Amino acid sequence: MAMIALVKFTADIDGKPVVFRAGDKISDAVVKKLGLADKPHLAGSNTSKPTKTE
Amino acid sequence: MTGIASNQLRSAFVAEATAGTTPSTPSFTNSDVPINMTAAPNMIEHRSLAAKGEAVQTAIGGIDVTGNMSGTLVYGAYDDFFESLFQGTWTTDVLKNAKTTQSLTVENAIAAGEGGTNTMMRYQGVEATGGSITLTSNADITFAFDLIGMGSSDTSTSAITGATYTDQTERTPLSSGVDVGTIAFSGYTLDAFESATINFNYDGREAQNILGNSFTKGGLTKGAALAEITARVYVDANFAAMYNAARDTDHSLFSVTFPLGSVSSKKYTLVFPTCKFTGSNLDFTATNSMQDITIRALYDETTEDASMKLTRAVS
Repeated sequence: MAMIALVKFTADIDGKPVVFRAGDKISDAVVKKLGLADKPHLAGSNTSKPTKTE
Repeated sequence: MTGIASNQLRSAFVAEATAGTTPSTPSFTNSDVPINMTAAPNMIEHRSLAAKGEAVQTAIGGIDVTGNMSGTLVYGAYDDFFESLFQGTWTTDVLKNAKTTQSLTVENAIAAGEGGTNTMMRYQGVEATGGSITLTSNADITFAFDLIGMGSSDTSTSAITGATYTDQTERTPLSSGVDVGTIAFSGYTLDAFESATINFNYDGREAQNILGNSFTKGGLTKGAALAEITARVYVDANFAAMYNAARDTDHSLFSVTFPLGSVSSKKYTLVFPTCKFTGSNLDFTATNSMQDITIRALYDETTEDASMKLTRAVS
């Protein structure tokens, strides 16, 4: 499940340094790769709701 | 290609659950001060009469990992290192010296030249085996840690799988002015201090070499804490009591308290519950008459079962 960065942090993604800033959406694949589910100080659940269309 | 500057180093650390083993998907904290690590091979040299007594081959007996770090004390930034230094565990924001292992993995990373590949050096099982906090009037509060590690790795250009890096959050440097509270020696009225140094000394804290593994130590021996406090105090109305106490083998045990910090819920209080003077010399060689106090922190068997107690997040 995608998450939202809570603080600024960096990580190597596919061999390249990537900066995540507070509020950035993090894809499910990256969440799994970085083990973010076990790092609640870095990322939280994506609680945003999709925009409704009429 | 241009050589790289030391200020381009990324020095990061993460606490280990098992000494010598970097946690999986580690959550590193970037240190604002460099963690200066060295992994020094112990070279074995083979000399031969066939070569007229000169060296013909070398081997590595083992690799010793040591280091140091120092800088201005900042709220919370070095709490993992204090835990390691005290061989203890933060328990509801109180840390007493004990005999448990608290180790860290340190990773230093730097580009191989300007625009070069980021290259990482890793050190496992690192402990702060000694250190100090120094309070100097009209200056900052500084800390220093001596480090010893269990092992090290060859350089790598690959990040540890799932590694993340977060900058330390606290940045405000602690000052020896507003951030030093009322220093107390129980039972004594104190004159003004010019400076003080708390030396977190340990006896017998060293890496355990083991057979059959060249590059990894078996662990670090638990040391006996022998903290020593030195202070340089202006000679004023109250100097005689400490002068005489230091000459009296039976002078009463007393506690020493250093309140550090000025921000509520972030402050530290460093207490040595049971102390005795080991020196109190007078110095008339400089402009001001000074008293050089030396204090040994003793093991408090009555209350704390420790000789050093650090409390954080003090209100």
